[in-house]
Amino acid sequence: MPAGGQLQWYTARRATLIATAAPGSAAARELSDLTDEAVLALAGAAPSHARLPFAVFALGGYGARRLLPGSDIDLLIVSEGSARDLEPLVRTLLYPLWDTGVDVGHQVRTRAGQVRAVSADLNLTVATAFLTARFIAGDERLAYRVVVDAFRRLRRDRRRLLDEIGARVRTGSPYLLAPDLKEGVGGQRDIDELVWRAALEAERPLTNVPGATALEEAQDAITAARWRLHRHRPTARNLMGVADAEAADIDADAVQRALAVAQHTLLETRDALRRTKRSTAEDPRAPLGLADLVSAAREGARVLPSVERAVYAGGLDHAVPGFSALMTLRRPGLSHRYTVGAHSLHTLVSLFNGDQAHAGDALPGDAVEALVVAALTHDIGKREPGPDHAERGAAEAGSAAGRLGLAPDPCRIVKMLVREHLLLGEVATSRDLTDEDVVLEVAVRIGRRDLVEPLFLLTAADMTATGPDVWTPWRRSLVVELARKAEAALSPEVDGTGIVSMAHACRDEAARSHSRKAPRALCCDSSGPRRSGTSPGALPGTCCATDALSRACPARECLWRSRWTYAQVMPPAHGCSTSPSAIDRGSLRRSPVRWRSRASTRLPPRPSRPTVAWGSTCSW
Amino acid sequence: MKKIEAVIKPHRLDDVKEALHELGVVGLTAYEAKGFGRQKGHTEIYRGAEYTVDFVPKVKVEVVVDDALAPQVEDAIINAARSGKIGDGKVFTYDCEGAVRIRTGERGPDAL
Repeated sequence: MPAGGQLQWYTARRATLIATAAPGSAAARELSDLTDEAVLALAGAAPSHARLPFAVFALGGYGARRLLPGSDIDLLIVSEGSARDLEPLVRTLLYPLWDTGVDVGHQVRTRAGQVRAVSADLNLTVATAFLTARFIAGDERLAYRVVVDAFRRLRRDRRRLLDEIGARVRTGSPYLLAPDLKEGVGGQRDIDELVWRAALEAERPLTNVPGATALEEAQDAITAARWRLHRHRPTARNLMGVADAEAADIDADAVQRALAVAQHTLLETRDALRRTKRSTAEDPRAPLGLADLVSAAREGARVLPSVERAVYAGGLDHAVPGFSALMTLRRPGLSHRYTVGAHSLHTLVSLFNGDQAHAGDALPGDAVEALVVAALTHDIGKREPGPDHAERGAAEAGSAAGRLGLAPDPCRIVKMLVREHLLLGEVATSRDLTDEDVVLEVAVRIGRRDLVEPLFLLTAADMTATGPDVWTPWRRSLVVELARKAEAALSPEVDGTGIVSMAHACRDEAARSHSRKAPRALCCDSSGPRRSGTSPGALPGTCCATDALSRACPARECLWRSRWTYAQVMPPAHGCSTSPSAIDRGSLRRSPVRWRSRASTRLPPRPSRPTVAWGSTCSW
Repeated sequence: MKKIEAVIKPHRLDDVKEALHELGVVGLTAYEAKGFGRQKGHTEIYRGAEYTVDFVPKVKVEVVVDDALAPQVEDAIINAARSGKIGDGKVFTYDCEGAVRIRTGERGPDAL
């Protein structure tokens, strides 16, 4: 028998419809109606139907007239007689459908058996599939009795069933870049739950659910995406991978918004149903203040769904205009799992949790606040595609910090943290950490010792939030090593590790020396960047050896200037084993001084002015 | 055929990859690894917590090449990974008895 047998017409029309229809709810309804025609035709040809009353129902998604190219055709056949009596009918109905190659799921029951089957004592799937049951063919009066009896039973067990529906396992996030469109959070099952609840709470219909139209649009977007996925790769039907989305020409942004709408509508509905019994709850749309954000960071992933909901509803837009749109902004790349906004929230709740539990306990309050704002805004530069998002986002992050009420200094810290949030991770895995220059470049870009820990915590949280394979113990050990060394380099101690502090002291010394003697040598580099506000008499070549240097010129330049200044000012007797005259810009770049390779020098008594630089023994 | 395994510093991976590419080695496998050699481990203190650094982060690179190419591959890895300092790593060479490209069924050096 050719494929499709007596349903060749169905197979042909089905294939044409799948190939040509514009994916979406309308196409799914059309495919469902076409399948109804086939089932009706088969039921009409059944030999025994005249003698034994039966009713054929469509269940689940098919019952809801939402049939997708890869969906099972779920049928329920109910009769007053035994299953054995129905065998000829079942054979007539199902064999031709099987021959078409479509997956057919079928249940054959008596009327009483169906009532027992939908009881909450049994399978939740059977009960929920029946909530969207639709009569297709057979005896209408029997169908009516089946529906009335089964729904009477369902209503009786309603509370228990609703509890089970509310407790079903929901995995993933609507903000995953590769979401499961059926079972994942925000997927089809979440929309189904709203339908199930509406069916079970019939005396309290859910027509007043906020965003009902939005939910319809969400359903359409999810159906369209699943239709395209089924058509593109029938084996991976519901997981919308990044490559699949592109290959199947799916509007991934629309899908992301649809998943968010489904998830948040479901959460709001669950809350609304709960509120009728208890007192009022907080408004999830209330703007989030700094204290809320700090509290969320401390609470961790537990509060993530409610924070996501608030932010998606615009709770952060007062501080970061357009942040709600970031929640569904996709920038797939490397190991990233989430949309930009969701990744930022994951970073926020990872700050003081997991590996970093209690890590922020010792940080001062304003540093914690700066860190929290930086975590939220570190990828804000990804609004625009392309590289250098860290640099691009720094200014906006600083403004957001101001709007959230941070003082000017913490705002500057936020800008630095955002600008440098990739620094530790990138350098640790791609540069030689035993190279003194590498560490010093990192140190001057950070600028202050007390900022190393916040930057480390931001790096750890960012990498943790990026994906499960990013913040590995292997990578962590490299980043810890770099952070530790950068912190030592920025230390105020003058035992050979406080290199950057040393450079600052040198700058001050050079400035004082300049004002006394104005040595020509110190003015040799007049082409360097000048900062407004440099005090009169300060040297063009030395102004960069300050914290602000990291903002004014590249770290390597800063490093060279610091060393050059030191070499100009410090006499060799103070412990610098390299003759100042031998240090020029070129040789420093070509032959970086190695901390470990230098001879140990005896330190003079600790002076009020730091006197030892990079030539001494390093403790690490 | 020879299998060459190299344990190198993480930041040298790109250099080693480039060097092997220039020699015509078309494939390699790299792992994030941890280990120690003669230097053994040491203890470090960071932010008040003591870390015992028993195992230093390394990258392990594996390539299988034709016998004739093996000495050049060894040299290329050594040159690309050497800084002259402690912890530059090691290179190990083994005889490799067989190789199969699963897709085509090719065997021996043809499968490389």
